[in-house]
Amino acid sequence: MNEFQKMLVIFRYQFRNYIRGKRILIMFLITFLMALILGLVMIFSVDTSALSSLEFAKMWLAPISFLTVLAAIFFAGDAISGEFHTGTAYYLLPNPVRRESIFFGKYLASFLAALIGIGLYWCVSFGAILYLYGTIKIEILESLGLNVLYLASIIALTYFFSSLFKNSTVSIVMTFIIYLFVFSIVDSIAVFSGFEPWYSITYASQVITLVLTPNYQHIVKISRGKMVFYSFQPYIWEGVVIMVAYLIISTVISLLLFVRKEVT
Amino acid sequence: MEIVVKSLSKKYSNFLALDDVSFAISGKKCVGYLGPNGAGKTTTLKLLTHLLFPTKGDAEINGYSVTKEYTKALKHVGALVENPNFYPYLTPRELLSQICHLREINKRDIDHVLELVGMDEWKNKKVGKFSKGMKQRIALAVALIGNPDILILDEPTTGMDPQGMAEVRQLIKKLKKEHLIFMSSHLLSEVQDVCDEVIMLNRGKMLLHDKITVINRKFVDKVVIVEFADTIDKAKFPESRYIKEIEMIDEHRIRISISGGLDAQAEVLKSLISAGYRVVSYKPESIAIERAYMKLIGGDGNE
Repeated sequence: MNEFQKMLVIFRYQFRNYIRGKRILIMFLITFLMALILGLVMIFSVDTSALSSLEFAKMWLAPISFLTVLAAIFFAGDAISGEFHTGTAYYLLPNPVRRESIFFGKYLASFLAALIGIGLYWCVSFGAILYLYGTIKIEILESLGLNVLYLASIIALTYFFSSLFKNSTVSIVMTFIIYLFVFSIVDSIAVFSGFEPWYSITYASQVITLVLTPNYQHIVKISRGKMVFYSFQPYIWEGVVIMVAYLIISTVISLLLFVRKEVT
Repeated sequence: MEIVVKSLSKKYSNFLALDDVSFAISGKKCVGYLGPNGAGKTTTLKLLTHLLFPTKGDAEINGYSVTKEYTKALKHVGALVENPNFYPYLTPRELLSQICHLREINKRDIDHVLELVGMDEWKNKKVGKFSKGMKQRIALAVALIGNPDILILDEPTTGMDPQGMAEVRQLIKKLKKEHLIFMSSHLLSEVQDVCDEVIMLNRGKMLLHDKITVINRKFVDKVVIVEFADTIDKAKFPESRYIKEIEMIDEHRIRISISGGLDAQAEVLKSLISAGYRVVSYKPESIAIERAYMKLIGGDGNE
């Protein structure tokens, strides 16, 4: 059995553990509630017949970035730290398998479990669009593709945070704070500074819905008296580059951390 | 089957947990690794199983470096280190199945191994709610699956009830006929009972590596406890130049202080039997390994 096959073995059992756990049920519940609330809002306050399918999809997919972050925290937040905190490292690591294989097997399991989590929302989205418009435009599929890329990169980044800590609760809480507060603050700095936040993954994630907007402005400058505010929206290619960069850099760093991590 | 430890050292910040330890063990036997808390026992086992990386030195298992070729070194090793935990939503059968895949061994032994550790009834239940003792049994099963040549066991009876402890000791006695077992423990009686060799460690330094039989001779007890079938009278005891002092414990048992080694002990026993006493048991007051431990480590203060 080569290392690739061993990686698939790790993936298989990790994934099985994820899909039997409570987290996937909680993820489904949150996704379902979000779809329900948004559906009710749209039914009662939006005239969908006045919207194009892309406009409808853009509104419907507004919470998808948040759901993606949530899924990443659920299935990757303690993926590495948990091994060391709960003691499963004592079961898994003293085996004739390279740590790289363990890492990628776990990554793949986290990715697939999270994809199933947000997949429910996409299924509802496709159902609603097909029901209302009878067809799925290519831009919506591109949006799905960008969402999958965002998920891959945000899980890689979550693995990086998870590799930094040995306590699973700390790693989950820290990751949650970083995604929901730190990145938002970083993004908002651009509003005043006029400096494009190309270094932010949450900024890049806007492309998931921007791809549904035919013509949008990259920079919007608003003057209020002496104050000037900026609103940046990444180009699609730019968003892709940022997400790929996050995916590669985070994966390499977290892999190096995991391979050198000691079970003390 | 062989483990060779070469000048192994491990430092955590400013604390030297293992200081230039070297030893070699091979063949079918059980080697006990003894020392007080903080001696460096678990650190050594973690270094051998690639859970830690040495600051200096290396270890080889079956000729392969644990640091450079760990997948080859661990190929024929079953390990139980500290208190392993398991993925809560998997069953013992699935956990062992994963290990079978990773070690490229046949899965047909799973049921047998689970039966061996007394967990066959639980094989299809999720491990999340198992007790500490049950998890320890599963951990032992993980180490045993595939019948590996070498077993590295870190206090394998920890967390088990007395019956479980006895079962595991019997199992180790059976396994050592076909395997090299390297077992850490702080239970001196356990080591005396199941091991063929002992390595003693204190404050990260190796103090002793010898066969149990040699230790038994080196650290002979000067006090024996004798139990008789009948009630006894101290005054009527036979004279012997080897007997320094006799103390009554109760009407059936006495404590004799003997001057001399094993020969002197044998002479005293012979004189008791010749005098018509019906001796039920005749044994040293303490086990040899305990005396060795107290002599080498005891004075140092156990942390």
